[in-house]
Amino acid sequence: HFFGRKQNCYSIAIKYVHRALRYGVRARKIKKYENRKLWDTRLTAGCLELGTNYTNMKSVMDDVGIAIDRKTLQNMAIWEPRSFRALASLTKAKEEEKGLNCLGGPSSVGVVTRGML
Amino acid sequence: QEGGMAAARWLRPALRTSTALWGSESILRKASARLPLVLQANGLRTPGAVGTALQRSVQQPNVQQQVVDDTSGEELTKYVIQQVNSQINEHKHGRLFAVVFIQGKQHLVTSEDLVVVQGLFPPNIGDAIRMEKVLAVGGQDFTLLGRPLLSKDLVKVEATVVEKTLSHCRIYFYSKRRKNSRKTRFERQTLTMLRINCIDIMHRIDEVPTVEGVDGRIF
Repeated sequence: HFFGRKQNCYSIAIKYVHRALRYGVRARKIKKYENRKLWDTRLTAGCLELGTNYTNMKSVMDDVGIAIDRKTLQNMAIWEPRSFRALASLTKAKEEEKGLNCLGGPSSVGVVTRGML
Repeated sequence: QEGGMAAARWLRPALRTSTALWGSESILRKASARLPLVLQANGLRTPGAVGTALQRSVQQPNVQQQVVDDTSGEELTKYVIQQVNSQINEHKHGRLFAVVFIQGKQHLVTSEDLVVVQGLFPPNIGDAIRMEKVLAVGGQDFTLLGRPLLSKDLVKVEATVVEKTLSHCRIYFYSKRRKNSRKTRFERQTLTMLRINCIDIMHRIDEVPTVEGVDGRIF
């Protein structure tokens, strides 16, 4: 990706190579944050499509005890849409109980908890 | 005295007798002026707090209350459990996926998948491994979510160690411009490739093991 004298002349090229290596070290750290932000955006999009909130989904999952992390959750949203839809219906059923969606009122969803959740 | 008695007629009986003793009309008039207006005007009386509370409170009839079990979702639950159990028994669920916890990281996994594990992983090439920490399992028609883990006797995820290599060379280069300071480090991390062989659901979901808390352990 170097061109001109940056590609052919050593004493000019070495400066740009050092900069590229420094950028690589920094990027390896930032990649983790960037990936997590991407997963968060994907999950918010998926939740909004299904009529819930990502924040509500997170809090309901914490409450119920489901420990699936963001990476696998966003993979489920893409590759296992039915399972993700089930999680979304679970949030819709439980969020009103927790007081997270009171203004809209309780949504009628086919979720039966039998008092266990 | 007659005029006095006539004027005293609009006063209450208790005051009438006392005013009879006073005598003249002028004294009565002055006395009536000093009397509070509440005596005459009943409408100006402010309502007492106790009175309104009693009026507003709805008298609940004494009825014996009964606790009734909520059986609204019973049929749906039975149907769903029966459907899932039939799929498990007849092995009609098709390809199953599992959310598996390996070395601190979660992976969404199916059979024939390759999983890369970074760092120290003792099992050697060719070893058959069983993943014990399964967070969720599912197929096309149902998902079983653990809180947080599913029990060991319910799900079985088996894998084989395929390859043990080193990663690409990562260069850790630090330098400060114009300060003659430079530091370079080369790092290659050990990687282990696992091939997921199969994912099975062992028994029906409403089956409870005879002994709980053991989880298939022998110690």
